[in-house]
Amino acid sequence: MFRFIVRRMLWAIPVLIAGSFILFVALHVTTDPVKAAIHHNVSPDALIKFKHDLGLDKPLLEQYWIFLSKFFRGDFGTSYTSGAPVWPELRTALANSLVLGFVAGLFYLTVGIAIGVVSAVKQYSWFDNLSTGLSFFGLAMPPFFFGLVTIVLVGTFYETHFHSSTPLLPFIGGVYSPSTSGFDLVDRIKHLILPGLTLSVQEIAVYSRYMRTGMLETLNSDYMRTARAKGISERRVTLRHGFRNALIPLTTFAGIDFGAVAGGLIITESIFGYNGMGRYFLDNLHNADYPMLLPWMMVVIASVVLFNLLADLSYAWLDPRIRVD
Amino acid sequence: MAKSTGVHVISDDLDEDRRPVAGEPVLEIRDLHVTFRTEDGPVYAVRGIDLDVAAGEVLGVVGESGSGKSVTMLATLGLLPRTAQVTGSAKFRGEELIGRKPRELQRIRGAKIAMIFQDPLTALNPVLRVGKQITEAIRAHRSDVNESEAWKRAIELLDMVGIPRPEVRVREYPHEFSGGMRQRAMIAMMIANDPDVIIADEPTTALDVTIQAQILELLKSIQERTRTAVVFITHDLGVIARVADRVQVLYAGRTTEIGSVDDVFHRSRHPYTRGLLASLPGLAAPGRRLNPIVGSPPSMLFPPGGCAFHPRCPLAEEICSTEQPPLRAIDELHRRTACYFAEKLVPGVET
Amino acid sequence: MTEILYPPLPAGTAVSSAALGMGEKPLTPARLAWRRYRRHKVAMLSTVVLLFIAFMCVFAPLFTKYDPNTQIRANGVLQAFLHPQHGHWFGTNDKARDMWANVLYGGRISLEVGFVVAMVTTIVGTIVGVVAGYYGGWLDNLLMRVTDLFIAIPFLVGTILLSRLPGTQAWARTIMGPPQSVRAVIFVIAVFFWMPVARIIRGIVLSLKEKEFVEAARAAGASNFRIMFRHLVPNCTGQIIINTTLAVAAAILTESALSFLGFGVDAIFTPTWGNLLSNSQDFLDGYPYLVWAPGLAIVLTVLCVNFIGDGLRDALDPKQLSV
Repeated sequence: MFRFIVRRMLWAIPVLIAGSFILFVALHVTTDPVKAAIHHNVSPDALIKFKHDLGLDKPLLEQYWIFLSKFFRGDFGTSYTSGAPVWPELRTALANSLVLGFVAGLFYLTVGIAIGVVSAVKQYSWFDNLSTGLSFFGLAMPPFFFGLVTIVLVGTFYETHFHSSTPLLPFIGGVYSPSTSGFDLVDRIKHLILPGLTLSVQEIAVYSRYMRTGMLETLNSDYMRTARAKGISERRVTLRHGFRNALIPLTTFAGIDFGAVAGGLIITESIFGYNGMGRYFLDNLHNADYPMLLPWMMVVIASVVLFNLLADLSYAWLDPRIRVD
Repeated sequence: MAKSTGVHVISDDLDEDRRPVAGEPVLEIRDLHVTFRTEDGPVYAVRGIDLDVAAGEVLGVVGESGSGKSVTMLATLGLLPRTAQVTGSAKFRGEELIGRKPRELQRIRGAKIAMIFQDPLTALNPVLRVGKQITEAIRAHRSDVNESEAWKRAIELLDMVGIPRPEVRVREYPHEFSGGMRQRAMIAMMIANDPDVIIADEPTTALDVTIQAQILELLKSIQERTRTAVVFITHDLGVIARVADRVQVLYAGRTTEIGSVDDVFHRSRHPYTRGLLASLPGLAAPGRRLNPIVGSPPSMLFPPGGCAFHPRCPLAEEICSTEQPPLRAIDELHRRTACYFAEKLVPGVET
Repeated sequence: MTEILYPPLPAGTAVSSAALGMGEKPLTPARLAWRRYRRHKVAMLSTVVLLFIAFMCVFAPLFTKYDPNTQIRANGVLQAFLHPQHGHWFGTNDKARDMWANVLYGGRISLEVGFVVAMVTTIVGTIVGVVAGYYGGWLDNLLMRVTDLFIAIPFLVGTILLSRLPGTQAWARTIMGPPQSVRAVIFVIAVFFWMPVARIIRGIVLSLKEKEFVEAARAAGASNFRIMFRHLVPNCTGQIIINTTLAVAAAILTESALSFLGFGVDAIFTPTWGNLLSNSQDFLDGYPYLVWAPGLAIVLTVLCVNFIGDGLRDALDPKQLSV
């Protein structure tokens, strides 16, 4: 088991390096901060100097090396556009994304799994049919559509039909930024509701289907029959033998899913103006602001790799069969 | 005191359930019908089966796939899926089992009536340690036994079924066991509570021939030691010959013949049984053609009318297709057969 | 001399197949699958609806007299922001364009992207998967490592960056077409979609590789190519079909997402459901109907595709449990 862990962890490192390099190259190849700076009415000579100052005229590999060494020393530099240090903004965005991701995650995981289990245990009941129908609907509903619908509902619709001048829930704005002082929990929660809900719609649909399929598979397996034949209570059979086994493939999936959280929930954040990693990416992409983007990239890849690793490990912990590696 | 008799340890405290005396009927099934609701229509898996097992005897239940042999026993324990409709009666020592709520059946399952399944790889939970699965079986019925006592007991049981180094094996997972050992572990799990009846549903079909012999020996020794009643389900006539006292032959959801192993094998009075025996490869002289029974078993969606075997029976006549022949006694030998023309099957002929 | 217990049936005995318990003439797997599919009523309904939607979009001129980019004028006045009414069922948008026409023509793009991506990724993914799974060794390893790597890159980030490539690199323009064109979008999505397909097919091939029919084919002298594409691939057909269907749905959603964010098909002259929704964002206050039309079009289409996929799963892989 230990060897398994070590081996998986060792594998993570080259993936990290390779992935970050690919993204590094991708960024440099698809964007051009110099071109983006042209909008600001600068002379061609100043542009050349600008390029040189930023080290953008050096060969790509050298740039990558410089970036890496600076990164691991904790030097993230300053933004091209604002001149402000990168880290505080990045940290804010990361915190916001994590908060949204985990709070929403807790919600949709519990709901999704619960729905899936009940649907499977009471297969073909009205609950099952209803949840199946809703799941299909949720899967077909793109998050940006749902997000817009909620905005319309709590905004225009609410205002006109309930005669209010302000929307029911705030739908623009982040939760935390370096400038805000104090910690208003209620306000934070209010800001989390709509994006969280939007995020949850598709996720609940996915997880409940996954769980339902997994549960049905285990419920029909031979060892369930054996467990019943031993005279164990039905509840114990369902939980200990059915549910636990059905949960296993879900963990891998959940790991990958959560790994994407740090990559930013680009669409959701964009709709709701939520100041997370996704918004951060889009805003800085527009300006080709490399110092802002590159550390972002590293954080994102690291988180994906980390969560995949966790998913693999938890799978091995839950299913002893795959520990033979 | 208990160690010498081994399995009896736990039942010492259960004074409400005395062990049945030899010959006392433990399982009595009457007129059992099982129908499955499927997308294609109702499937009549079991169409009126009577079955009796007495303490201390081994009843072999023989039939091809689809004959209803497994379904019958699963029905008595209430282990069929929800799509199954069960009617009839199945009494365990006088207590009716059909139609009982699952919670009531739990008391009997694994403790009074135990069932061993065909494929131990899929029948055991792959993510739980073997010992855990055994202790689970113990503690489901003995709330006074704590975890560590149960583990000790599990080790004893594994030893009893012939697994080497049980104290190590008990903490392992099913996939770390070989096929034969897995089946032994399953047996250990099921005899943990000293049941009165053991139902073995094709326990050796998924195993190699050499391992088969070992498992049969194990079951036989357990049965001899504890005088448990055993219902041995199989399609393999050779196995029946080795372990069973009496045999009941099923075809298409009904009983065709019942009798002692000796009688049925050597003096069968039913065309189907005769056909089965005649088709065994060992009986054809070298170079001669095999004698399979013509045709194939019927689909249980549309069972043939009358005697289910009539389309394939060389003795069939008009009445066979319209009237189900009753199970009747042939002579004083307590045999029964369901054929109008049993007398035509000349007795005394060796097969 | 012993009695013959089992005399052979006299010649000419008619033994009806019904009596012997056999059914009607055997069904081919395809016919069996079709029969199972037919039973799935929701899938059948969805097939009809989807065909109807596709028909309407492809033959859009039959269903609307407007061009999606014509600006509607009445008496020379731009008729922007008309609410849904007779003549303009979905109203008009900020540029006085008829929304019904836009949704129909936009559907063409969305459906085209969906199907083309699904086809391409299935073909490429299957080929790569079969070859990698069959030959194993370094080829297989390479595939696994490459896909592992790409999984580490967040999907939207990757597609967004890739979509910008033809904008900055001339060589990319020749392969992918102009930036934000339909061709570019198809390319971008396909690049990321083929990998899961390849992995799934590889997995199936790995398990099939050990079966006897492969050995038998090899013993009969079949070439590797023949084994792969005449024996292994047909055995994956069920899975392939199911995956393709799901890919269509995913591709439509992805294209909409990209267009919504502004990285998909260019909005100015080519409507897609995604960029129509994107455009509606600025006008939510007061003109919410701009959201419903394209949004519901996406939901309805994807819903149908998913139901069809479910029906196919039922029909082709009955061991799998579905709706």
